[in-house]
Amino acid sequence: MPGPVVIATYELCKRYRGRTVVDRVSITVERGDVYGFLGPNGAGKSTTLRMLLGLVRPTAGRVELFGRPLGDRRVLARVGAIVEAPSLYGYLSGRDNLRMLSDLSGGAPAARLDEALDRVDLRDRADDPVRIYSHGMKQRLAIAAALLPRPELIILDEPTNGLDPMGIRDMRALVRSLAADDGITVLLSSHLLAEVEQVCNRAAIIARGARVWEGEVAGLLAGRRRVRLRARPLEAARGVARELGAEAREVEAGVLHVARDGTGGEITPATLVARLVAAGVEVDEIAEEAPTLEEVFMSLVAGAEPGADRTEAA
Amino acid sequence: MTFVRLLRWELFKLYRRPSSYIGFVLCLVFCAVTLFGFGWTQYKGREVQGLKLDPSQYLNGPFYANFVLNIAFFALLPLVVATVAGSQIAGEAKDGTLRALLVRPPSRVALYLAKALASLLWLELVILFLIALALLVGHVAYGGGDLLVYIWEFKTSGFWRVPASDWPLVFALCALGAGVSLAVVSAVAMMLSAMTDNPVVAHVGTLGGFFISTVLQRLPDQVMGSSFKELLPTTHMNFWHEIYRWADPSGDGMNRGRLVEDLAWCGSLTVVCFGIGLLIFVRRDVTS
Repeated sequence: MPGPVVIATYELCKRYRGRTVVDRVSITVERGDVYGFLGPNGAGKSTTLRMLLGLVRPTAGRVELFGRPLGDRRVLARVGAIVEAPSLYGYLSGRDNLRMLSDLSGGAPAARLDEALDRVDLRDRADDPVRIYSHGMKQRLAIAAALLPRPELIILDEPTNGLDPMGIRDMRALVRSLAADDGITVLLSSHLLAEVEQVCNRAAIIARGARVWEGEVAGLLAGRRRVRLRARPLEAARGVARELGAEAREVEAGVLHVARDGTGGEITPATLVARLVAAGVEVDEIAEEAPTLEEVFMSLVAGAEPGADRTEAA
Repeated sequence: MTFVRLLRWELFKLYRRPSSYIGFVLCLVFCAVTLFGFGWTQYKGREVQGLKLDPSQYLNGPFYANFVLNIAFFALLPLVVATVAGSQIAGEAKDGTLRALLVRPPSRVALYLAKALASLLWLELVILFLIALALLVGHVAYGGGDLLVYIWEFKTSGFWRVPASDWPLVFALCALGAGVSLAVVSAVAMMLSAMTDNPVVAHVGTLGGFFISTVLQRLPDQVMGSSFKELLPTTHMNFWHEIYRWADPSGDGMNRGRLVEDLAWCGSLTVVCFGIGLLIFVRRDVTS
C-alpha cells in the first residue's frame, strides 16, 4: 500500500535558450522509499533535483514537497540535500561548517553536532579546516550537515562520485541505514545502475530529459527475466522459441538468450526444455537469469524519444 | 530572527575568510608607503600650490590622516569594497557553497540583504581601521595640531585650517560620509556579483566602472563638459568633501543644495543597484 507522497513533480520542464533539458518529468516518491533517479550523464538528473530544491526555476510544471508547493520555503527545514559535489567552506573547520549549516536549517544542540560527526566518523578531524579534507571526508561531512536537522527526506545527487571503493561501500550502507533505521525517505540520483539496484526499492529512469520509466526496481528486473540456452542445432532452437512467442538472440557462439517478446507468455526453462526435446533439439545448458539493470536501462534508453514513457504498473 | 542569524553567519564568514583581510593589509602597506613617500620626496621642504607655508605648521597627524583618507577613497577603499562585495554571491556560486545556503529555509531575499549588510559593515570596519592607523602613524611621525585642508575640487579656494578642537568631528563626519559614499561601489559590486558565477567579473567590472568614472570626472571641463560629468557617479560620490567647507573658519562655504542633491544621487544609485541585484538573485537559476 503506497505511503504518503513526499515528492511529486507534475510535467516538470526546463528549457535553456530553446534547448529542452528536462521534458515533462513527473515522478512520485512516497514516504519510506529509497528512490533511484537513474540516467546517463547529461540526462537532466541534476537539473531536475535542482528544480526540486528551488535552485532552478521550472520553465513549466510544478513541484510539491510534502504536499506543499515549493514556494513555501519552510518545507526545506524537513529536507536534507547534497547537490553534486559537497558544498562546504574550505576556510572553516568541519565543526563550524556543521554549526552554520544546521543553524540555517533551524539549529541543533552541540551534543547533536558531536553525534553527527561520530556517525560519519569525523569527530577527530572536526576542528581541522575543510580545505585539507579528502573528497570522501567532505562527502561525509556534507551528509552529516544534511542529517543534522533530522530531515524526513534526503536528496543525494550522485553521492558516490569520486569516492574510493571503501567509501562507496560505506555510503551505500549509510543510505540503506537512513531508510531502514531512521525512516528517512531517500531520493538518490545516480548514473551507476548497480548502485540503484543495490540500494533502491523504486526508481525512475531519465534519458534525454524525459522520464522513460518509473516503478519498482524488483519489478523492472523480474518482468525481464530470460533463459540462457546452449543447444544444437541452434536454428531449430530458435524456431521453438519463436513458436512460444519469444525472441531468441545469439549472444555468443552457440548460446541464445530467450526472452518473451511482449506477445507471448513468460518463458521458463521447464516449458522451453519440454518443447525443445519434443522438437528433437539437444539441450547442453539451460538456466534462468535476470538481466542486469544496465541491459534494461540501455534497452529503454536506446529507443527513448522525449515523452515516450514506458512506465509499467508497479 | 532569520535575518539576524544570516547576518551573524555572513559576518562570521568574512571574519574567518583569509581574503577578507586583504583590505587591512593594504591599509598597512598604504600607510607605510605614504610615510616613506613623504620622507623620500622631502615633502616638508616643498611649497604646495605656490603657497608659502612652513611645512612644520601643516604636515602633522591630522594632515597625514586626512591625506590618507582622501587618497584611499578613490584608490584603495573601492578595491576593498569591490573584492568583498563582489565575492559575496559570485564567490559562493563559484565555490558551490551558494547551493548549500539556498537548499535551506531562509529566503533568497533575506540572504541577499544579509550579504549586502555584512559587506557594508565590513567596509566601515576597514575605514575605521584605516583612519585609526593613519591617525596613529601620523601623530607618532609628525605630532598633532590643526588640520590643513586642501581639496582638489575646491582648489580655487586654496587652503584653510580647521582648529585642533574641531577637526576630530570634521574628520569623523568625513569618514562617515566616505563610508556612505562607498556604499555605491558596494551596491554595484553586489549587483554584478548576483549576475555571474565568477567573482573576478564582479571585481573587475566594479573597479573598471569606478576608475573610468573617476578619470572622466577629473578631465578638464573643456574636454569633458560639466553637464556630462553630472551623470558620473563619482562626481556625486565626493559629496562628503562639502563637510570641509562647513568647517572653514573664514565662513561656512558649504553648498547644502549640492550636498543634498549628491546624497540623493548616491542614495538612489545605491538602492537601485542593490535592488537590481536582488531581483536578479531572486530569479536566477543556480547551476554552478
